[in-house]
Amino acid sequence: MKNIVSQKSKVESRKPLSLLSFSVTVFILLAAGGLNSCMYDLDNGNIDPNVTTTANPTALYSKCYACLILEGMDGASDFKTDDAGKSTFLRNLFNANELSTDEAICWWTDGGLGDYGINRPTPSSDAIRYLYYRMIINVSYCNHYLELPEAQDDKTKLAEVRLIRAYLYYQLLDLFGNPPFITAISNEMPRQAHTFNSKYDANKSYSRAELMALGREYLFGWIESELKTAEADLMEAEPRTDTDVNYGRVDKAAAWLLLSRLYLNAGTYLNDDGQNNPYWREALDYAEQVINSPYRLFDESLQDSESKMWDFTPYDMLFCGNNGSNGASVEAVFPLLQDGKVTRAWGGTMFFIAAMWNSDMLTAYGMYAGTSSIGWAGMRARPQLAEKFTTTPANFVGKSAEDNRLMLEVNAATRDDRAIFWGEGHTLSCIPNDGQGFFHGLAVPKWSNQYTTDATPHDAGEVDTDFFLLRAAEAYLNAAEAALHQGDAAKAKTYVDAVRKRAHAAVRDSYTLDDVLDERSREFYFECLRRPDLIRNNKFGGLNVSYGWEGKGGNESYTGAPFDKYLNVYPIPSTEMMANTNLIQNDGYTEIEK
Amino acid sequence: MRKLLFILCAILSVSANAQLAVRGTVVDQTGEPVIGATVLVEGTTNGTVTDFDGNFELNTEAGATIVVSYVGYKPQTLKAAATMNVMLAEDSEMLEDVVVIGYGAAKKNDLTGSVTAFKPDDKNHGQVTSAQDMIQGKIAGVNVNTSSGEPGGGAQIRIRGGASLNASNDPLIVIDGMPMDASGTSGTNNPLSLVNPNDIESFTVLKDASATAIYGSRGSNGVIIITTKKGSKNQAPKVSYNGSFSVSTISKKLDVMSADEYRDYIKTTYGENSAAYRGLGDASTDWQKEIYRAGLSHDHNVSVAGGVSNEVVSMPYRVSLGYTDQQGILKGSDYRRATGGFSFSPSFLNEHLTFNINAKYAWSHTNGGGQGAIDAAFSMDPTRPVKSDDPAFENWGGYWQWVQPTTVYDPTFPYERNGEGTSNPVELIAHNPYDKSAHVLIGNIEIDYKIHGLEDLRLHANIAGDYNMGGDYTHKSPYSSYGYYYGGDGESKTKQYSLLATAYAQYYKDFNDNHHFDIMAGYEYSKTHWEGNSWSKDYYPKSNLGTDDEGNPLAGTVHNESTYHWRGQTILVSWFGRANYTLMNRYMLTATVRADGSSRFAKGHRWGVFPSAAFAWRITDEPWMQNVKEISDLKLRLGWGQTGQQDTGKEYYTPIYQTTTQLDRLYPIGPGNDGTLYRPMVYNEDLTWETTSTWNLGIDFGMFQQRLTLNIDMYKRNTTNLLCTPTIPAGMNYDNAMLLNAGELENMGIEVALVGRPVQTKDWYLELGINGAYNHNVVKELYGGRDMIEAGMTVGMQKNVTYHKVGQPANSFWVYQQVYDENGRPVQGLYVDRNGDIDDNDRYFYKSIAATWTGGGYFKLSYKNWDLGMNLRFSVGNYVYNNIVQSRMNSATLYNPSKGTYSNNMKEVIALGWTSYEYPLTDYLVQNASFLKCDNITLGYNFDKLFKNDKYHGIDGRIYLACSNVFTITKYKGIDPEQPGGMEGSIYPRSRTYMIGLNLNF
Repeated sequence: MKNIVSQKSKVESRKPLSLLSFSVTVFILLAAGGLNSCMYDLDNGNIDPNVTTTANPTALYSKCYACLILEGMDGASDFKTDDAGKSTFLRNLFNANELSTDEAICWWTDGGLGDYGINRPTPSSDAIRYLYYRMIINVSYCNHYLELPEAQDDKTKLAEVRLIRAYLYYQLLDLFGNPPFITAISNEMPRQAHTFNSKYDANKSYSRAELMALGREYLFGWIESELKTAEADLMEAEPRTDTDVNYGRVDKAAAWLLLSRLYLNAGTYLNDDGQNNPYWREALDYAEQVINSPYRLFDESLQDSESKMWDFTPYDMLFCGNNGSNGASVEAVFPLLQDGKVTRAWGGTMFFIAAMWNSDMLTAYGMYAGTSSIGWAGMRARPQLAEKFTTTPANFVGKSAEDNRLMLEVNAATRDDRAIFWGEGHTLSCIPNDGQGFFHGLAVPKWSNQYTTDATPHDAGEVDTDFFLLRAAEAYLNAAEAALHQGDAAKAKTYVDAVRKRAHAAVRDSYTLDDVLDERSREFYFECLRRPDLIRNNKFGGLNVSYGWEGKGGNESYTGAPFDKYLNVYPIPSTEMMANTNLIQNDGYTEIEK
Repeated sequence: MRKLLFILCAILSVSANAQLAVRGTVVDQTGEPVIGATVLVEGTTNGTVTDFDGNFELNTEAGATIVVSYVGYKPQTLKAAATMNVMLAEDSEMLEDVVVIGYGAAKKNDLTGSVTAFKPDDKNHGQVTSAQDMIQGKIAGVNVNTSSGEPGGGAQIRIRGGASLNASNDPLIVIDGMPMDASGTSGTNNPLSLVNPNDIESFTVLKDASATAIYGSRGSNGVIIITTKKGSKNQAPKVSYNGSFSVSTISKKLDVMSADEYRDYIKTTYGENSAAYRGLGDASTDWQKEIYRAGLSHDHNVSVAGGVSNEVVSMPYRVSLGYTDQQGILKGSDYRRATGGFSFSPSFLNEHLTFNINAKYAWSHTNGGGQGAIDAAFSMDPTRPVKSDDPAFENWGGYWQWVQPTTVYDPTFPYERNGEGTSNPVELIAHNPYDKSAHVLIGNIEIDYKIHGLEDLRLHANIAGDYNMGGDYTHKSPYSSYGYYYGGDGESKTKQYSLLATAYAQYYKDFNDNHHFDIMAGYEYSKTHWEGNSWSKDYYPKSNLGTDDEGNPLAGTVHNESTYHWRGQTILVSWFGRANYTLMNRYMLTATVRADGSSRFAKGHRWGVFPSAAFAWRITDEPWMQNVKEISDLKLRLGWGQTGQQDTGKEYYTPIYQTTTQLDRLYPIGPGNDGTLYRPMVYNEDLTWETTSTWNLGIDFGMFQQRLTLNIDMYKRNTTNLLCTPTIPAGMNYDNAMLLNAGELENMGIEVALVGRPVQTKDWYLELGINGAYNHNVVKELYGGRDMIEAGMTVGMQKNVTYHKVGQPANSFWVYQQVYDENGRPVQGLYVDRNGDIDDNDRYFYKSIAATWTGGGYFKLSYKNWDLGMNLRFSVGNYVYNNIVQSRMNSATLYNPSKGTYSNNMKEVIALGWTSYEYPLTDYLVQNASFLKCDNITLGYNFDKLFKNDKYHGIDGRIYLACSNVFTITKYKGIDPEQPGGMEGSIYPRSRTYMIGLNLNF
């Protein structure tokens, strides 16, 4: 009986055992097979079609240019911001170099623009943060390109990117004095410029002013050497129009003009006194290299008949929708591209039109802005800018820009094509800056998207107007100023006269340094040059500075009130001070307690 | 058909070797017959089910043991007799008896971790559109906040407050074994909203690491396991219907000025002869009234569940269909969803081989209604009419707009919208061009095999898949604010699939009565792949007069177009195991381990190992406790475990370039250059998991036969290598922010859940429950020796307002201390000065967005056929940044002379009299948003045997009335204190809903 039972159980258990072994085998096979393919799967990497691991040197080269005027990729910001348009280089440069001066003011109450306007920049200002991050991220793109093995063959392009990087460091030097200095991509925490100065001894203690001086000195020398190195490999100086494939690329003239600008301001950077400058000679020489190059002032002799028929002046044509093709680009040493179809940007020339216009305004030649994107209406002129053109600026009030031009044209002595002020509905005074809008202060419809031919812009909203970041006219006025310092008043007169004649303004017998500074305002107002010009002439920060403007230092009187000289340099943003423990805040500004 | 099936079952169950004919009746405690109860001869497949009157007949051997069981009742085991009258007692612990846990199930008594099983309350609830609505406020330490009142909207779920700083704090949601990808798909707001809540059988919430560590790199934020309903063995087909009809109304509007108040205000401010006063309109429009409505919704669900079985196969099944149509309170907004699902659970070979096959499908369609309209209605000038005959508005269909003349279009479009003025909110709704829809299919096949001859060993495999396809669609009219002049169409579609293959083996061994041992080991592969493309296009109208550079007319040609295509995948490969050891049925030890390899990290940082261990002591089972009759349950649990967080979105470790995709933002420069741009992207090769270690101590306590239960859990949780995207030094890498492992965070908390059933008689039943959770978190350390990093909330113009600072709770507000005037009004720009001038050093840490106490409470009362229930939910210590006020803070710009436009504002803001937006960092705007909300009150009436006759057992069911979002008690000054992100902007307001519902069981 026992046996039978055990036999029976044997028989019964055979089938389950085979099932067991089968199941276990299948299980192991499944697991092992899965394992093999799956471990491999972990290496598959990124399959997003919008990114690639392969460098495209041309596209990375284009990026170094594009980041001077576009916000980033496909309209998004290159760095973390709330609004892509506010991240653009040009717009931030305008805010920093114009709103803080006698030329412009903005009533928008957001984001530190008001602080610029009353000369109270703070480390927590949003506008300063955007300016700072924009320039440094652009430096990173240039660093990347310059290190890229695939880019090393084209020496010309390398030189161009080197120049762009030097230009960015020039602006960092000018705006922040002693910024971090990075020439290669790394995950190391960047160090400030002063630590690279051979005079700097890490074991010694320095005042913040001393560190600033060391940093500025180092950067000055580095930029000078970079521009000279780049110059050798750049294309020969040659103005172009936008049908030329090389239009928009920088050539030797850009290096010369930047060197001239660097030397002209050397006093500011080396001695914290714009007038104490050992480099006037070099400033003159490099400016004259531009003047003697094929680049020239775009004047009436170069103007076509069609634009004359529409009452465009040569000066107007520098800021028009078709300025890349209407001949004006003969003056464009460094044009930044804009196109309503192909190269759109929120903070490029669009900003220079939209932010300065209101819907009922017209240009000085009697036309609309040429774009439907004009609703921002923020920036106005301070009365001191109008004063540069007339002793009775109040007469601009109540008149259209066209009428104001006609008013000045009546008298050959007052005629100046560059006076483009819209006064209908506006007051001369830009105060109060109380958020009640655009009508305190004259409006400036200097840029437009109008064509000087009967062709229409490429888009009703987006603009075609290129932005001339460097213009040959600057070489003339740099040369004039340097020549005066060199004691050559006759030479200075030649250059100032040339600029005035182009604007159909009467020439004078002689020009003082103050005249040249005013001439620079007339020629370049709203073109992001004013702050360094005032600093160089010791007319910006400093409690003993007598020159003032309405709202200066937050004082609402007509000539404002002076402010401390340390404000000549902007503070390093507090987010950066918190992130980079290597940094020391610029002299005069509150250090964040960590 | 139903009857036929029943007869079939009965015949199949007749056994051939009958010796005793058993007849009996099964009733419940109230004496009602139990229909469809399973009657089974123990140890055989010989069984039957009770008929409509609870009767059964069965032939069996004399002396056999008969088991009678039915879902929701305690099974009865009896000796076979010729006549058997069986009373089944309701089992309140039934659900809790066996709890689904990660990769398996466990007896509630044997649990060592902090695990809460929860069965949706089918009586005490308000409007339930999504699964998230069912757990809101019900479980201690589980916080559910809907993101807005938008129909079909999503919710934020937090278990113990989440472990991360900036990486996702969403718990892992596992539906029938399939972990759901949190990122979801376009076309829907929330993956959870696509499971029909009526199909959900139970939720299991795993809170502590000893329970979640088995999910390894995804377990840090807790796990919610959703199990869907299945049929029962040997059950006659049961058809049920659930339906409801509801009306939603706005619960709170923003207190802006009426037209008359507005006119008075302009007159007082600017003077009667001012341009501002003269420019006012003569209409009186309440814009909020114009855009909101009473939203009507209805919801229907039908299910058939049952089971057939014979000696060879047992086949429970359930099939369900559902349809929801919900109108939002914003005109034009609605949500529709259709769902279908089935589940089969066949078992073969004497239950050795079991399959579980589930499939669920959902289609949803969401119409947001012009959501810009909500904001516009706050700001629109109340003196303007909705519509006007003025020809200036012709191109907006007659809707009044701020317009300005333009010459840039063509003669048929003489006006354009003045971009600085508010769009007409009603027009935004009427011309809303956006809608979205999605299809989701989720399915799985589970195979479970108990080895023949070695029944202690069980092999289990689960193959699961999830496929979803959704799209956002845009159709802008040229005659609308959205697409003025150029119009435009667009689509954005995504497809996503996830595949999961799990296999594990489990071995049980009882050495003797005192030693129980089981061990499980397994492997899992999961992959999620997504791709999508979008396009948009607009056109020059036929009336356009422009020409291109070549002189060709532009009319009818494409004005702008763009396309975008994206693709991505993540892969996770895992090994895992668990061992349980039980000594003398009262000392329990559990250990788990999981190793995960993730494609999101670079080699060398890819694999993580997540161990856990837990111990439980069932004190009530100690011999010396047997005499303490009052205490029915006492258990102590202690656990420790490590879990991870790997939610980086995508691979972040490779150096890559982003390429331009739009054709209108190129920079063509130099020969042979089309202008494409490459941008080097920030990357971090060293990135790895976040790791969370948790200690948990828990006590389960029950008295008076579980009529009073108390659960207490205490925990301490340390998260290291926190994934965070802080600002990095400029010039480092390629961005000003980078994802990195940024520090350490500590959470400590306690959770208490108390349930009492003080009254339990034949007619009366009363149950009260309250749960509360306290959580305190503090940042312990940050990367690179830093003291604080931005937490991500920005206000005004990208000003960071929340920070993570060492020694402070995460997401603390760093603000200026506001100074108030004698009337208690905050003075613009005047802050408490701590150091002689106002700068960053005057900012101080003031509160955080996280609540310190959260919880809920409920009561259920029934008397005979009536039941009444209410759910409450509270949150204490959470602060909200009132961005509704901040974005309107400058009340001096109501009339904008430079643009000629007007806007409205809240009376509260006008009273402050601020003239600037420059001061968003004031602590005035950080407001106490503690609240007590009544989520619903429900009154129901239960009926049975409706239409009963000789042949038909009748219909039973329930009819109920409910009100959702009944009231809110709060000091918060904005619209709604429930703001998961800690900031209130212009969101779709949560509605108050009145509902009538019907459940029928045929």
